[in-house]
Amino acid sequence: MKNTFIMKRAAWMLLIAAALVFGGPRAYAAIDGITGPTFNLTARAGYISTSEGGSYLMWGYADGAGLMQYPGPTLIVNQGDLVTVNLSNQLTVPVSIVFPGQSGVTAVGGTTGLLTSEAPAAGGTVTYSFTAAQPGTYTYYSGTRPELQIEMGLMGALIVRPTVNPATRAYGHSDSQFDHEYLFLLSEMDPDIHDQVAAGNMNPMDTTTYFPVYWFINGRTAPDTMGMAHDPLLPHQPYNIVPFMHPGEKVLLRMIGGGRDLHPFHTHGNHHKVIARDGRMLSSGVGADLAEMAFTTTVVPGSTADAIFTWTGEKLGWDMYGYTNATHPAYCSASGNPTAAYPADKLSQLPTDRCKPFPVTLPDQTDITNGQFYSGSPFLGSMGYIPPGEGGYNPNSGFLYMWHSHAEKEITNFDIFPGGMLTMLFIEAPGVTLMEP
Amino acid sequence: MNMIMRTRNSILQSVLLSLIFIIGLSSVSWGAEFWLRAETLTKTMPDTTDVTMWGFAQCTDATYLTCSPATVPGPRLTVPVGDTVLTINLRNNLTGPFVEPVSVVIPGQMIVPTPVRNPDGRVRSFTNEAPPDNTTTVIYTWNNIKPGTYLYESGTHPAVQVQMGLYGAVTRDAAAGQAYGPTTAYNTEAVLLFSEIDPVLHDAVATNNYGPGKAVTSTMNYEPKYFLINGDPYSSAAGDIPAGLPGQNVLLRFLSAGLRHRVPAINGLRMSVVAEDGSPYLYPKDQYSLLLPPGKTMDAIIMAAPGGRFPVYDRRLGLKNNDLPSGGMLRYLNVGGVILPTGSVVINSGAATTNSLDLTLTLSANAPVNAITGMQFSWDNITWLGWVAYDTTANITMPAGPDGTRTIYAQFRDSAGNVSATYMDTILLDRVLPTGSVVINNGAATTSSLAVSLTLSAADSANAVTNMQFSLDNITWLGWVAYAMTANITMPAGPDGTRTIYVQFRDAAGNVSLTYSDSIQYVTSLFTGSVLINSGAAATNVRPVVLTYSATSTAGAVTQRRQSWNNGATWSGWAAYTTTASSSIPVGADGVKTVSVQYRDSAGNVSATYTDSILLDRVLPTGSVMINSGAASTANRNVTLTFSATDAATSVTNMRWSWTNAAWGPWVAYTTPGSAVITGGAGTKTIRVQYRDAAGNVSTTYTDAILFQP
Repeated sequence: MKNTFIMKRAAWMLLIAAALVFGGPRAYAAIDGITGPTFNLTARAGYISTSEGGSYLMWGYADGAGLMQYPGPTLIVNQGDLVTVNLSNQLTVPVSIVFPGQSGVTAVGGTTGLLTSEAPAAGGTVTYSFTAAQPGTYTYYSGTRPELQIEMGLMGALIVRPTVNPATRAYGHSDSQFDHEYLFLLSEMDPDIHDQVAAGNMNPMDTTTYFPVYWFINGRTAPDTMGMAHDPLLPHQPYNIVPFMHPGEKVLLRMIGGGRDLHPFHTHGNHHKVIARDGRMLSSGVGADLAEMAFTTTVVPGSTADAIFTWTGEKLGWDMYGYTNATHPAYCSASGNPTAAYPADKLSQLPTDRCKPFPVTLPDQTDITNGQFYSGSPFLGSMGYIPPGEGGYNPNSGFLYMWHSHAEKEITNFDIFPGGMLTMLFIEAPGVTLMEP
Repeated sequence: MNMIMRTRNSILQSVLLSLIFIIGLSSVSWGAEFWLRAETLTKTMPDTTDVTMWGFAQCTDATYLTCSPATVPGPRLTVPVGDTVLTINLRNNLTGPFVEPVSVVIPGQMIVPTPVRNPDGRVRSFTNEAPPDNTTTVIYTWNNIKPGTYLYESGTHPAVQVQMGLYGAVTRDAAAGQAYGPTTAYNTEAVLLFSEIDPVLHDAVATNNYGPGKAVTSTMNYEPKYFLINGDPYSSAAGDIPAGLPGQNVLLRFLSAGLRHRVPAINGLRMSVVAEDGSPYLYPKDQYSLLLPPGKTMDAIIMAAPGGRFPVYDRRLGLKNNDLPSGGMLRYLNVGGVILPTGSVVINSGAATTNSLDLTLTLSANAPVNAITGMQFSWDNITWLGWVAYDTTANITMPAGPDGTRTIYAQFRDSAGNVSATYMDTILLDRVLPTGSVVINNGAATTSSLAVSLTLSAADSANAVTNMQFSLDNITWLGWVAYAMTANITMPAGPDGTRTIYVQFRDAAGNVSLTYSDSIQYVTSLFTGSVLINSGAAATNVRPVVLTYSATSTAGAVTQRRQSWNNGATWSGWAAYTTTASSSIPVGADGVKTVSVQYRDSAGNVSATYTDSILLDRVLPTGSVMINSGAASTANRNVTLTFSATDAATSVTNMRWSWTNAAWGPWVAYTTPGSAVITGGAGTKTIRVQYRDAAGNVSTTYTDAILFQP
């Protein structure tokens, strides 16, 4: 356990290092994945790690000759692509892929299964083809003994980028405009099933007693969710999830139910607007006019939901940059109102909050305990005094909000809190380069 | 099916669809008044597990004389478009060791509730109940039936009764071919009712092990093992769900009567989700799956469906039949394809075993459009016995052969010649009788109580021993009860004596064992008694004797006695008890004679046998006498007599003598020698002696003479 802890520390330090080293603002943050329209996936076995030190046998889809990964590679295609997925099976059981929400999927080769054609065990192949007719967030998973194989890890995300503004819109329409997009592929695990499979006890197997004790975002449990992507310490779990944004920007959450349980995904900081489900905008005909505001969205197994999150500091009631007439007379008038000189890159903060003084007196440093994310200042982008050895995980003095499953049980790792389906949203000051850890 | 046939079917289907709608449930109901009856039934799961369920049967009218078999889900109730009043008449014919009142509610339809409360005030039923008497008819009326898709289900003890299967679909359309209005117009509809089975509850109800103080006290530990769409888990025998023709709009009515969230998902199709809980959405949602919580209904329309078979399944992965994969909540929507008949075959109403080669089959077959016309059977799935006209029951005789599991295979054929998949059922043929034993009071010899405990043991080679029955006389049997290792029974009242209990065992196949028995002495009174012959004399030489009786009983006065001179082979009649009575040794040779006596007290109890014996001896003793050792003469008046006597059966006990012919001296104890004094003057003197034995026999007279010469 001690080694594990050191590894976690190391991962964090890498994250910080990446933040300091890599520069250059990006127009948008793309979701990690592989692009098509032709994919070669291989079903393999491998072991994943959980944050408290567990190690479990998984089956997953690998990218070609790569390692088994959990979840499978995020397949990114463009609207209208003729998508071809060549599945090769290195497992000891038949395996397949279904593409819910896609029409006209054809399968060539393989053997007949209940939901689709299957690649036979130990080297079998099958090829699936379909036209990605409509943009959106989708999922794929095994259609063979799904109650076992999905649990074992044979699932992933499929993103179809729209013809119009593919880099900045989920569905082509402006209602789906985003600055950054993040994948939230939610799943859970009952380790008993994995232990049984590892022991070769698959027939019969009673999966009706399913009782998960691990919860994942993009295949990782917290705090590994916040480690860097493609961490060599997590070779089978390449995807992380640490959303970053500047105030006023729009973050697209592509939420997918990857397991079999419902997960209430909760955003601290602000509501999010659910604009689409199952790859279709919630619409009466034009745009996402039927979008719903929610602070918790039920992520349904096998289904997808897209939401736009934004954050401006609205209703804080004080200037989040700490600008007042006393400290910044050029920005704030003596009457406490913003002047025309108020910095243009901070105008996403609502006028009603600009130049409003911080409403409380901060306690003395000797009276508080500092969290690792505390910059020493309550103001966005400002660093204050913190004692040596304190803080340090928030080098750009951002604001952080926890995003997590609102079923609090699900933010644990096999009874250890915190963990599970949890990550932190970083809101960085305008002008700060956002990390792509 | 060839193209001509398909075209004809398509035309027929279209015509029919303009009038009625293809449904996925077991039967169709028309009219706004329905007669339902709750019944117990058995469903066989694909892994051959039998599950006891409660379902609704539909009857034709208030007489309840003509009813279709009960089903789970219950019959789909279709309220005609023009009707706004729905009346459901309910009877309750639940059978089994655990039954309850039932009722019907329709969540989402308005009715004034009339809750039924337990004595402690807790609501037991949301509405009036029909008691399980198969007689009382309870009438429920909904006056303003809203259009839409709804569940009807029992409103009584729903935690148990809905799980047990008392649910079904009830629908009403806003207009012909319109679920809620013009925006929800459809050509074809299908019902997809999701539910679950946790066999623990069903087994507990079936065996009366559910309830306070019993093995299963609540449904809290719900853990479903079977996952049903329209009452059946998926198996290779499950038929497609017909979903109209290509290009049509297909209304899917999703309902959940289970206790877990389900996520019906369809591969290859998208649905326009148009309503939930019978309320239409202002704008539909375009989805390929939907969240279906327990008790909810949702409606979705597949717009302009393409042709083909499309799997619809639970994405919460209720896809197992217990621990076997490739089952559960999976069916195929069939748009425009040939839909084969589906059916089922059940041997002897689902019995697991039989002891007879003669079986009764219950058959059920459906085809979406065509009538079912034929069926055929096979005992090996190779050789078929030939097509016969379809019927819902059939009698068939198994081929001879050894006992064991027998399987019947059935196929069904519709009027278009489409042959169904092969359906099967199995039954265990067992003609071996069970064997067993019974022991009363752990083998005790006697009991003072009529209530005794029995220790039973029975075994059967092929089946479980299920029942036993008792008899107290081997004539009248007390009725079959469940087999148990112990039993308590009360023996018939009456006087003390031997009681015998007879038992027979029966196995699951109905084989009845031979009769086994055990006996015990019933003893409530304690006699003390005796009998003496001639006051205990050892011997007698005459048959008349006097018997002296003596007896007491703890249970009452001794009132009668009887005796036997042949060790109980024959008895005298019962005679009043007296302390003495004359009797007579039966005619016969001499020897030891024994009298046996029994006493009876005022309670009727008969004592043990008491005896006494006496020697009957009528043989005379023999002997001799000598005076002075046989001397010829004597001068002395005092002489010595030498006596000698023997007796065959007893001993010589007495003797007497005389010097005259006239008078005998007294009987004296036999002894030798003796002395005597000669009386009178000189001359020849003769002594006469007689001997007597213990039985009183007196010998003839023996003499000796001597010359007296003083």
